[in-house]
Amino acid sequence: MRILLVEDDRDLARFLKKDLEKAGYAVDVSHDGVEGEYLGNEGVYELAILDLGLPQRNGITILQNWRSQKNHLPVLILTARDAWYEKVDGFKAGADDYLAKPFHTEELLARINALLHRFHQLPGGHNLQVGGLTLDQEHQQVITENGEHIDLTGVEFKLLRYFLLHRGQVISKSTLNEQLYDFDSDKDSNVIEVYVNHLRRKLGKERFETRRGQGYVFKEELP
Amino acid sequence: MKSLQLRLALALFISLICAVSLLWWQTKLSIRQLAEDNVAEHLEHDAEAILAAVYADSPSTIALTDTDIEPVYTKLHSGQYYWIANGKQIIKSPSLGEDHLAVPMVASGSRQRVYLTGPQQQPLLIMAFGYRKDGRPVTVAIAEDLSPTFILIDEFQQRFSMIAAVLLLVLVLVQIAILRKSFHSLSRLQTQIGALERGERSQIDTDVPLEVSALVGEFNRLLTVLDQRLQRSRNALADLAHALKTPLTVLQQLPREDAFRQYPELGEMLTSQTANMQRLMDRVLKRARLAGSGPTAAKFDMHREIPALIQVLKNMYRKKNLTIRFTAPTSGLLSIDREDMLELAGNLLDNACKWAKSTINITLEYNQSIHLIIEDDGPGVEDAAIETLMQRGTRLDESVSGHGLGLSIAKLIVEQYGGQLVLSRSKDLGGFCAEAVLYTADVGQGK
Repeated sequence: MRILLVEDDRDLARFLKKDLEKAGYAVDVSHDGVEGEYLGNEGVYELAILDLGLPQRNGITILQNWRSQKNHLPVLILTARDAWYEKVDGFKAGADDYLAKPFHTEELLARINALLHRFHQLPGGHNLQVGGLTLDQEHQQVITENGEHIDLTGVEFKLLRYFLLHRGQVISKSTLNEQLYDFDSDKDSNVIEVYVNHLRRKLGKERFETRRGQGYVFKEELP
Repeated sequence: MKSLQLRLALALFISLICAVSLLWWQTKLSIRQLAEDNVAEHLEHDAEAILAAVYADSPSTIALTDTDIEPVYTKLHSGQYYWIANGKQIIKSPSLGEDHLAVPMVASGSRQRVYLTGPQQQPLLIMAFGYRKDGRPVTVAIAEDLSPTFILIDEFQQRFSMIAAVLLLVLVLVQIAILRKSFHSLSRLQTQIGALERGERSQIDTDVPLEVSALVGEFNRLLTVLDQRLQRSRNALADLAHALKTPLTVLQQLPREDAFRQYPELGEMLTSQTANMQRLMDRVLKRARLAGSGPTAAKFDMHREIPALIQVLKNMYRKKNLTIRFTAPTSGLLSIDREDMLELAGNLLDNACKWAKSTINITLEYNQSIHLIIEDDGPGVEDAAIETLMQRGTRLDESVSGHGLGLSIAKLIVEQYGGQLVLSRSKDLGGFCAEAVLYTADVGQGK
């Protein structure tokens, strides 16, 4: 799950990146508006966290540009500007959620979660529930229909969350690669195969169908 | 406060009256003087003719040759009389009849003008001349009835008075027109200041008379300065908020660091202090950002802004799936600062959303003042608690989450507009009801 963080304060960006990574997201950080807007159009992000007061290009302008280019990337505005008219202007520009600084990381994570669930037409709530599986984000566990708790490694957790959100869709290895690692990491698509096999072992082979030459499909309902 | 125009008009009117009256009076005097002088000259000619007809008929007496005397002197009470005195001897014109004229003796070579009432109450002008005839001092007095002259003078005066009155009227009208025209630019200034108060303009036209152009210029400059200062301080505050809040967020993240976990009491201290800082900052910044009533150039379009705000709150409280109903008059332009109005409505609505079970009603009305009523179907507040709620927020460190902070900001905004915030129980929905009353220079202008 790759997230774009556009925030000009380097300290805050570092903290947030660390917290978000701890929560299982791959995070790319941009410190200025022009770069941030460009990255947001790349199509690899599942969500953007956008500061409003940015050097070079204002956050509202970035958002308006994205929306006018039919870029429907879920955007959470994170700003110190918390007057109501600013919230109204933010939502008018096309924001999906608005969080005022200062905030607690837990709040931000909960909002990101809610926003992703909403975007993928899943019910709200803290934990992701798809096809009888419940993903416990806090303990990085998956709970099966039988109530069995299965521990997941960091990569397995990230991978499974992406599969759950994109249930029924064909997902290529390169997409999974993009979603697992930020642009500073080394990528090796063969590793993906290994992790998918780990998940198959834990959750059953039939959950993850291989489409030759295309990728994988997560089956919400088992035959 | 006296009207300058009225004062000028009054002063001009009085001076006009004085000038015309003086002219009228002077003309009246002059005309009479001229007429009398004319009569007197004519009398002198007559006196000389009569003197020529006087001759000494004895050493001590004189006589008059009747032949050269004009017939008017023989007709009784004709209004033309002569009176010749030679010592004790008097020769008077037959027109005098039995009447006498009390004419004094005049030394020879001199003359005297005498006014007397003659026969039949005729106002007489008498010219008495002193002559020496055959070595004897003779006084010849010629009298003429002035009443025909007076009638002419009266006629003239009537005509003249009428012309003067018409002239006065015309002048007064001309002056009123001049005053109106000169004061027109001032009254335009007045309407523009009204428009300024209603927020329809941001500056006053500089196309004004020289006398007030400096004032208008300075006024415009002050308006610009005020506007810039508000904008600057708002921007500065927004920048300050931005600049402070990001580091504050960083500070709040610190206790989560491993190094801090070893000293939990330090972490707690940091957390509580940063939370405190945040609360103080929020309140101070919000208060400082309020524009308050005054010349606002921007209008608040309630049918565009309030639904947008409702959408924001529905987004924020998506989980509760609230029904938010908005009722307002069809014409919806309010002359109130947009940021203030959204801040007020946002805080009250946020509060309502926090407590509502399913429904919130927003009502906006305006007549003399703006009424913003927000009701919810939540638990509401007991009457006793309303008292404490109203008192809360008078001090900086007293803001409490829940009903408190939002309401105290709403109260601040309402106070900026000289209004009040009334809290009660909703009659329709049974929950909390907050009614904000605001006063602005000119409330709304819909049409």
